[in-house]
Amino acid sequence: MPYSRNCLYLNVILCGLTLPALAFGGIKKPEKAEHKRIVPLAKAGSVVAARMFSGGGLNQQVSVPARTPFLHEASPFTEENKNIVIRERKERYEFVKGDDKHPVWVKQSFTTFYRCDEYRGSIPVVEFYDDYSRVDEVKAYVNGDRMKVKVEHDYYSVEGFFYSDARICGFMLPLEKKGTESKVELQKTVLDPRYFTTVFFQEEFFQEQKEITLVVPRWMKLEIKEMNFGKAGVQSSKTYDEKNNADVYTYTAKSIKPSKSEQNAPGPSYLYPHLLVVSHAAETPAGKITYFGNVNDLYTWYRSLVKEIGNDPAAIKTTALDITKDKKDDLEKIKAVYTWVQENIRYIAFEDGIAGFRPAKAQDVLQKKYGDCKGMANLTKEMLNALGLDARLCWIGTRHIAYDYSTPTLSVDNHMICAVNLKGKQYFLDATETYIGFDQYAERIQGRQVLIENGDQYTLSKVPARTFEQNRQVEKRILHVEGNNLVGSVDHRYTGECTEYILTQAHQVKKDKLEEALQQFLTKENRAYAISSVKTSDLHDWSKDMTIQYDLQHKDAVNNFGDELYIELDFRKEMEDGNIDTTLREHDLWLSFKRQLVQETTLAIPAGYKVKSLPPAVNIDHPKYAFKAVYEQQADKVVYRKEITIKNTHLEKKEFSGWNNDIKKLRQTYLEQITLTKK
Amino acid sequence: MKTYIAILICLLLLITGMMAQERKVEPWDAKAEVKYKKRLAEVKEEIWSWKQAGFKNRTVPAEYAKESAVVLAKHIELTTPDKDRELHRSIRVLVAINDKAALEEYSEFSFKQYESLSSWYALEPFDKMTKVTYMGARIFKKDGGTREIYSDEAVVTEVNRRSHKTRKLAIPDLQVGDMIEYFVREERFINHANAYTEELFVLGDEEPVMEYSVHVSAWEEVFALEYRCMNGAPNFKQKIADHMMQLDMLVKNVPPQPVKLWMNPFRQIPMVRLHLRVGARREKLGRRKEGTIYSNPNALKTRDEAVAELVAMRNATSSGTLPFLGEVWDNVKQFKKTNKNASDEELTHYIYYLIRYMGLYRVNPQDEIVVDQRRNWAGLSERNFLRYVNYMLVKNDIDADFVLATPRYGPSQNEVFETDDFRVMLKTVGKKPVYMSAEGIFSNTEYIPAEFEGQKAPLVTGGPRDESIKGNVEIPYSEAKQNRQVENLLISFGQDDLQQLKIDRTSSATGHFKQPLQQKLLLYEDYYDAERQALGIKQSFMDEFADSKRNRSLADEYRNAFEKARKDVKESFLDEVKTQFDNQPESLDKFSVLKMGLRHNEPEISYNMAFTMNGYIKKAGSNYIIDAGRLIGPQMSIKPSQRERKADVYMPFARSFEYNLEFRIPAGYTLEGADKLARSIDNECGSFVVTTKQAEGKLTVSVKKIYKNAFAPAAKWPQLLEMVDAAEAFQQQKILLRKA
Repeated sequence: MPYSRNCLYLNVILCGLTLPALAFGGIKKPEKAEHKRIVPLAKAGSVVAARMFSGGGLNQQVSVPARTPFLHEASPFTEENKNIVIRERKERYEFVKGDDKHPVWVKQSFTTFYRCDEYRGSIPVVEFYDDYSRVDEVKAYVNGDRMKVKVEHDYYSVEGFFYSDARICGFMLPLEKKGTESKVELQKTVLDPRYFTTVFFQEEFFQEQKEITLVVPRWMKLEIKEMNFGKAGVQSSKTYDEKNNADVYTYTAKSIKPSKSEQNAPGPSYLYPHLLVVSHAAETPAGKITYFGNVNDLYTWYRSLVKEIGNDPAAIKTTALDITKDKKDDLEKIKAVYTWVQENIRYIAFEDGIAGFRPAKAQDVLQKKYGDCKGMANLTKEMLNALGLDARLCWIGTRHIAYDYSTPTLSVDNHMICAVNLKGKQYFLDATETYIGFDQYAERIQGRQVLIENGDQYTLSKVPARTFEQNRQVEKRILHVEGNNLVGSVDHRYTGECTEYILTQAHQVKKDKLEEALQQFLTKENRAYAISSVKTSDLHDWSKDMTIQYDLQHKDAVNNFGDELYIELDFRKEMEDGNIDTTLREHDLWLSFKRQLVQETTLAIPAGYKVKSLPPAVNIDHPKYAFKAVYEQQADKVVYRKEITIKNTHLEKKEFSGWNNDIKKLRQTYLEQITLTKK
Repeated sequence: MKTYIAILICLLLLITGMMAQERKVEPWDAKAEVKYKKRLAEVKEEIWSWKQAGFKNRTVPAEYAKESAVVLAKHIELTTPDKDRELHRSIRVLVAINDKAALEEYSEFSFKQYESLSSWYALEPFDKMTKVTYMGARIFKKDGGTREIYSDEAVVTEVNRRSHKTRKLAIPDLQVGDMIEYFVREERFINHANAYTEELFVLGDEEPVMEYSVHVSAWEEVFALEYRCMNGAPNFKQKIADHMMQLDMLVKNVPPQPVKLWMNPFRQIPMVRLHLRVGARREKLGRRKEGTIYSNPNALKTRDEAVAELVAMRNATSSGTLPFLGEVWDNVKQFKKTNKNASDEELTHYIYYLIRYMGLYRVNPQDEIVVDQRRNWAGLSERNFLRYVNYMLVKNDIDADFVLATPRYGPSQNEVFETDDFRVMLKTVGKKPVYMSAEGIFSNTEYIPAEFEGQKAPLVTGGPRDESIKGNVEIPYSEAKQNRQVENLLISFGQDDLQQLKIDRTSSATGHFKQPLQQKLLLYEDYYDAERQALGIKQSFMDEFADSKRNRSLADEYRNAFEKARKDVKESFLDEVKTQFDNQPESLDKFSVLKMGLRHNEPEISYNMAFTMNGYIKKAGSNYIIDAGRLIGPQMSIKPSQRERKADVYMPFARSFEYNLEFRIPAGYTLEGADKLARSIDNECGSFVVTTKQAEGKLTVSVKKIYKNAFAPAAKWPQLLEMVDAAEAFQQQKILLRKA
């Protein structure tokens, strides 16, 4: 038999997951094309972990379906649920002598007391590790009794990464009944202080007490930066352990809310109190080891990796010359190389040991036609170098990261791009942004500090910040009334990240279905908004503005009551659902990118009719955004013009109320129609 | 000995579990890798040397130039290299990559290099319990260059010592305009005498296939072959030579299948099902004679095998298969005692609901506390549950038959090919039969799952002695009125803001619409208590726990969990409104379930909500335009590519929707345009009828949309389209609220 339906008797096929999805607060999720290692910020579970280690729970008979479509953020692990809390968590980090290969280790020990306040259950306890760390021991106690822990180890699949060396281990920890505690003791070792960079206070459960201790022998030179301590109520002290000749730093805090994952939120380094550990150097019996005392040390280390790449300029040159053979000047050549890498190299992220920091050989990326951000940046640079141009590698932290190079740690950057100097100007090329034009920059790197290679030195610079004008989306409609329909022609024009957004979607659609998909996009899947004769600019050329033109017949858009015609001139109603739920939202909101949407509709007033009423204008001009909508009669036409401008993507919590009020005004505009009446 | 070793390995794993994190390749893996590479070299040489003409093709026909990808050749081989029940399954495909979507699709492969076929033993590559997979790809560049890559170069993404090793392969140098040719070879053993492979060759996919070929070769001394060609698929060419049974098929120019809406591939797309199975000396139930090719075998043979399996299952009654039998009997006896005149039908219902309760509703102290919506997806094994019900019916002298049904999205009775093509229901005997199925925690009697409707099915008596079929039954289709959703909306306008609608909504659903809503909206605490009382079970588990010293705290914990579930269910109601209206309510002011619909005699779930909604009223000067059409919620839209249709239409079931909208016209305003809302489309396939009535400051709009049948022949598609389009167009309709 290939299989049998006679599975376990009356065995409730509640199949699958035992624990509902929980807020994904613990893990730094990479933005697209970030090249650095995944450094888990919290130590407890995640959705993935819950799935991985939820085989049993307290009872195999009744588990929970994998399909749980009605789970919301109010899972047992958000602060709204008071079922499970951490009564106390102690973390100890001690720098100790390691082995020949890794002379300094960071021994870590975590003791966590979980308490069940409402009803019993099991929770996933997980820990992450990778090539540079290991989990040494795990012990668990349930209501005082030692529990036999069967720890599962697995590869950890990181979203957006083809391959990662991140590993996860964990087990399900029972909480026996209401009022009881379970305890977990976990020992871990980080094999190199370079990779020990942050200690966060947040966990996925509410913590009543937290204590973080760092034991730093005086042979270890480091700096501890206290980040986001503002109102966190963290108490700190420093003592000297004479016996071990070590400084002991202790941080305590009470009543710490769990981390909460929210869409379009700033990265954890902006949100939560944490310690940033900058390891400068260690005096070991074998001599002094320099880590990252300053940005020069960091660059020196990066540079040492770059020197090991093994690029073969000759192998690159042929292709570079071929790509640029028809190009007359250097600027044209740069553009050609950039576009070629964007078009022909697929982004595939690998993170494997030191390869998480060192770019792949340019000739390998060229041959394979795929690479991660480092590989793509390195190939771009090598191609340009082969053409005699001054191109360099750049390390950069995307906007997800709160730090800049004044803090020399591996947490400061997560991405690599290429800089090219031409006639006194510097351009940055990020080929992982597949459909963005030359000298246009994605929001995530705009204004960010870059560390640029410069032989044995380095330079620091910034990617230029762009205004909303880089990313425009303009729609112009010229319409007239035919019976109950609005009829006319429509033009769209997209630039910058607006183009990139459209083209990314378009190229994911199979081309035999592209026409229909484009039609559905333009008509918002409303067949009454019938479009025909669609023409687009070349979807493979994003160096120019992207344009779309078509004819429109908007059926039943004109409503005739008595002598009057009622017409709605706004079809798209962008940002109609832009309201922020302030009852749920905890963090600031970062919109995807700065942009301007312009919509202009010109309606010919039908013969025999005149304007009876036009909706009032809306004119909101906030320093961070503007919403404008104006109806005007111009001779025998009504012109509707709307502008939505996002000037600054960072909306702070204190601005939510104003934003919601302004969105309400915009929505009100969408609820207005014009009235024409017989003359 | 082997078991002992396996246990020892497991124990060692327990002890050394923490060491498993080391990244170095473990000895078993390293050793296997050497063998893997050697075998891979042989496999690739074998597969690349295949001579099918299609693999030399480098031209995409002009008619398919706009396709995302075109399969120029696809060849599948199923071979048995020796008489040791080893099986090699290979597929080789040549694809032209025409766009980036296809490039993405074909640029990464993930596969299980080793996969244990047994849950008992640790993974041991190359033993008889492990399937080993090899793969390779070569790229033909536009400029004539080629590239190759093989599975041993893929990155390892998962190693589970107990079950599998997974790898991922990124295809190098693949660009739009190139062709990729890849193969996948699986090697495994057939370990059980009754086992067979399940092959399905589908001649119609998203991508056109220019040449599709299959070759099967099996030792006649060991194996038997059987296949069935369906929906116009060609027969294999077959022969037996050199001790090998051989099947071959070559189909050219298989067009893509563009229509996905309401299709039934098993009954519409040409396909061939094939089993390669271990043969027996003599043919008998469940076994095929070695050295024999069964071409399109009589479906009755499969049916008889299914009957035999069913009879064996029916008769397998023991304390293991009938747990808590004592309690069931106690309750049944009590029911009979207090309902002396209960009819067989009433007793049938009681038994069904009692076993449903015992299996899914009641709680034991050791159970995990799950009382929120997740519980609503609980289900029971179809055969085991119905066996239990049947056992109790038989013991209470109620005659019932098992119904061996073939789901309508699978093969029909005359095209069944294996016993798993059948599913089971139970039906009492008599003039008014009671149908019983196992559809989850809200399953009720007198319900026939939609997938069985309209199917002819053999009956097997529930009594323990009969072993053959006792005729057939034509399972009835449900009518549209039985699968009904009704929305009653009382709509008033905000006093301070006329553009805000206040909606009091009472909704109900019956038939096939009922269960999804029950799963979404019901609370375990409510339906547990309702069923317990209906069954006459006096003590709730909460009472039991409260009375028990040992479990007393559990009652308290359950109370906490109930409280939380009741608080959280608001989110489900909010989500339900949002789904129905495709619009987020501004506020949900009240919500309640009026009827849970837990039993056959309570055929509907109904619930009430009160909420406010924005976005339906547009201001125009001093007047207001009401988007009346949108208040019935989003309606189906048939895409341009789906509007021309040559394939018959298989919908899940006949169904009806009713929307009754009562607008309370605000003082100082008159309502215009109601007459424009009225319309009537009524044809053989469906109807969409809108009527209006205006009186005493109210406008009542009644909308009825009916899909009259679950099936429509392609010729009647325009009629169905007419109805669907009418409903979609209605969404544009508006009425005017004019300032008096």
